[in-house]
Amino acid sequence: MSAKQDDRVPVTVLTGFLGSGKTTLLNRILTENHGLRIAVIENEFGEVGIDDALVLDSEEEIFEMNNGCICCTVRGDLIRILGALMRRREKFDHILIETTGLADPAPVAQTFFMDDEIAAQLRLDAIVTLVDAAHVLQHLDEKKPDGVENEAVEQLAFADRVVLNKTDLADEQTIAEVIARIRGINAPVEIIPARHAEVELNRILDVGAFDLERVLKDDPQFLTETEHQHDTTVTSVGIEIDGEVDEGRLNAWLGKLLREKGADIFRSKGILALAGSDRRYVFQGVHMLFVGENGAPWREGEARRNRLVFIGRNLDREALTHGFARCVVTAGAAV
Amino acid sequence: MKPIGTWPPGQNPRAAEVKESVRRLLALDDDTAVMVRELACSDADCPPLETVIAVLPMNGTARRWTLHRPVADITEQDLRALLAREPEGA
Repeated sequence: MSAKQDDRVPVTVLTGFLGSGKTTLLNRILTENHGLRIAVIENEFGEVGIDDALVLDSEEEIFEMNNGCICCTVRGDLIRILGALMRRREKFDHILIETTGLADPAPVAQTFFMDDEIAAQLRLDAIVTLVDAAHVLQHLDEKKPDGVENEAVEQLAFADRVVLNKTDLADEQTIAEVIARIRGINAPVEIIPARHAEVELNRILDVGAFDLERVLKDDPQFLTETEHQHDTTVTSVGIEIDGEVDEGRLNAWLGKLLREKGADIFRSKGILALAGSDRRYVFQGVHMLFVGENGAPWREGEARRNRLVFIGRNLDREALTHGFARCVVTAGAAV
Repeated sequence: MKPIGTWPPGQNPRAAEVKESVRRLLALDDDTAVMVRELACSDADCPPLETVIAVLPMNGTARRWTLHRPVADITEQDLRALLAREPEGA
């Protein structure tokens, strides 16, 4: 996508616990003079009321698209609303989806991976998670019954940007601990400290977080900055290996991995050098769903470097690294 | 690369045709969303590609059907037979 003009409408997903400052941020986004016409789909009713803004209420409806081996849920309400919005395409430049404090981000993200028509007209720009610096630790530490997810952990694991809000209400030690915990769950995420949800909007809107080539241009280490200490079951694993990848082996490995462990792998992303191709292969996955396409060509003399990251629960770093290494067929020389 | 259904967005014209056929065969209104998605599975016991079709009316219950073949191989006859069946999970 990055090699050509991408005129799809960017979509920002705003998640965060009740009290994290989502509504304050949303109001800022809607009232600040940024020149963008933003359509808002909100799940928490009646909190935002801005004249002239296109604000649509929606009630979360989880819809299963499973087949035998692949478990996948999408948001039925979003599919309907986004379809209707696309018929009014000329009225807005950006879409913002606000989720409830307890929402699982996976079905929202998978909605953009599931439908060809939505993917053709809209691009998921970033998942932005707000956290309350003073209270997020207690949410992260909350013990849930077996089989029930800790939503605060999930929302951080899915995030491309974390707005660390209310830093004025937490002491330095707490803030340092919060940042360490966030990095433990999602090492590559960009953390933006804020008070009263005052965030430079260009750090959260139209940032192209799902466009890996754009991300890597700004931060070449993005996919592999995962060597942080952690004591959590949800964490991230980055892999960086030079060489060309055999497509058949990769299909077999990644297919098996996502089929067997996809429920625990929240997000996966990578840029790969497929043997026989002169272009980067760029992929993004959410649980078991995976989309990929050819990106920009490798530059002359550039090392064929494969970079991947997995964010999820109970990840086995060694097994992931070895599994991928077995897909690499040529030594990583520059060509 | 096709581990679990990869597609360059917006570049599967056959999926759009299948959507239109579903709309016509079920006489759906414009507000009803239709999804057509190929899902791949590398398990030896599974067909390599299946197509899931979902119909989501603005007001009313969403329905879903699965065809055990790639979207490119789906014929109008397949769709007629499929959509005449009870949806899955109904």
